[in-house]
Amino acid sequence: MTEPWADCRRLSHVDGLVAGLSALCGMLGPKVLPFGPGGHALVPRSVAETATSAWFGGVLSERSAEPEQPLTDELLSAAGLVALRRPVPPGPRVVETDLWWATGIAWVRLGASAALAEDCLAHLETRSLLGNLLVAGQLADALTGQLTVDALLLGGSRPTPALLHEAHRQITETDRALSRLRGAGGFLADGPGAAVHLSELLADVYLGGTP
Amino acid sequence: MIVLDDRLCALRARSAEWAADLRAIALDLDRDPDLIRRHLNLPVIEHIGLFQYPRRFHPRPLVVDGHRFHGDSALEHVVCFEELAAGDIGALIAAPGAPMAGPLVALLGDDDQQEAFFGRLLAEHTWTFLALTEPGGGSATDRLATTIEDLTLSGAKRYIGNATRSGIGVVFARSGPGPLGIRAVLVHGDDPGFSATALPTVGLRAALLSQVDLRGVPLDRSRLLGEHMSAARRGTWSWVRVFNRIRPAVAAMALGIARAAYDYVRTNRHALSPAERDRLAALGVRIDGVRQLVWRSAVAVDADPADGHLASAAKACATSLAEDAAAAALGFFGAGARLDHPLLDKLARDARGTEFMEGTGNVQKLAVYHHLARRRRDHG
Repeated sequence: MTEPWADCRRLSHVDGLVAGLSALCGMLGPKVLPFGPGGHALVPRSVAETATSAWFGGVLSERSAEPEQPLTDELLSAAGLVALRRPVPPGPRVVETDLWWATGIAWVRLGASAALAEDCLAHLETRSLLGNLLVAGQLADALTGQLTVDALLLGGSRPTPALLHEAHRQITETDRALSRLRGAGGFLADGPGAAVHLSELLADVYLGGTP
Repeated sequence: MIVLDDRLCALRARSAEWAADLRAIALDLDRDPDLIRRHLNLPVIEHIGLFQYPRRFHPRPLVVDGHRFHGDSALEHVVCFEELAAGDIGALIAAPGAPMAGPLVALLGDDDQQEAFFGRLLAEHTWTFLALTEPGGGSATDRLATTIEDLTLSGAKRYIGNATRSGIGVVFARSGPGPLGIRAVLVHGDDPGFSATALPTVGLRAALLSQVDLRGVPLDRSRLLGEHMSAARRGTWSWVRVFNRIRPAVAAMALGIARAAYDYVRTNRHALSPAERDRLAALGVRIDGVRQLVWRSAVAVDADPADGHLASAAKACATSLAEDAAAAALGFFGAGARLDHPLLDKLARDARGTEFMEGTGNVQKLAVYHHLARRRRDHG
């Protein structure tokens, strides 16, 4: 993992998903707003407010050149995130650049997933459930999922769409398993439930569903 | 394989018609749960409430194509609830009535209690709640911390649907040690010491999952359900039967979410590639399989309300299906699908919530395991 991505992951783990995403956006350069393949962006509010360039798979364009549609959602607002949509410009995207960005998003999501695992462990400890074999098995599955993503992303081979879809799918599955173990608290919008939801939205915007 | 007869087919078709009314208000209710008050005159909302009342409190049965329905079989419930949840699970749960508390009052309440409870529901649009889950111990009855002492109720409940707008509900509390010390009591929304606060949730927002605080709520003996029954009958014995009957309906709601996601793809994605057609067909087959399990579980609890292992299996299975189907459906619409297709996004959020309705997956798995272990013990 390159050092900047390590920072994104660490920030996401320690300070939350938005902090990790801010660091990742910073890697694109100042005042750049990254759009996914469908013409959507999901970024910290500060990035949306200050960006002057729109980034489409590595191709930069003037941000003011096309109309943008803000997509409001109370979960996004509460987290300090903004979703936008604008027309996808004609012409090819630089696929490698899209994959590079989706790799960064995966590291950000993995950092948030690690924080979720710690929250989950703390919760299970208070409920004296860590010794329960069903719970232990599910916890082990979730942590194995995180290790698998780690191995996939660090595997040394060039990221492919299939590899990244698998990494993101695994993070989503792991997060959902952890949020289930967190009990109904994992469904709260002012708790870990929101983090899981926002993490899924990031994957949706910048990668899309299973091919 | 279970095949519905003409009577249940008619109920299913009518429920599918009603589901369109729920779908029309789904996204609005997700944004503002109180909007349900503007839709109380919808026929579907009226019938959702009545469907769980004992027969003697029905002003009139539902009649569809000459068939009469009192809503007193689990199979009727699952057939109806799958369709309604495919319309919108949020609107279904947000409807006034007594989907969970009602069966408990019907089983444990004496004549006066039933008259007071169901009479009130018939007289006005009233929401009800059933409060078991607690902040510290979840729904584990051995960790129940809410107490009844000197006819005073104290404690806290969490993740209780509709509690902020309910006129009346049932609270589980401990009046003594052990399983026989657990009592179900009637509590009114305007009782002194009672307060409910809505919790912000990722999905199922229309259900208004709430925190309930019980700070010295005074009771009299008329609030204690099951006073006329033996201690053994009014405790675990009775409410296990009630929950066994409710669980297939919850499974059917999760199945409805899966169906809605599947139907959304069929309606909104045309010119599928062969691989996409195969993926969608596989999802359809899985939905059909889980539906059979849900129907079988309903038939089983109708035959013996104490036999809930199929209901547990169905609930666990349907919950997983709902999550998987919503995720799979999103996969048919490319990057940004959750932002471009708010209904699919809502289905994905709501599906996560079915895990916590009527027992988590682990609770259901343990129930299935205990059934297997018991059968092995009984039959050598």
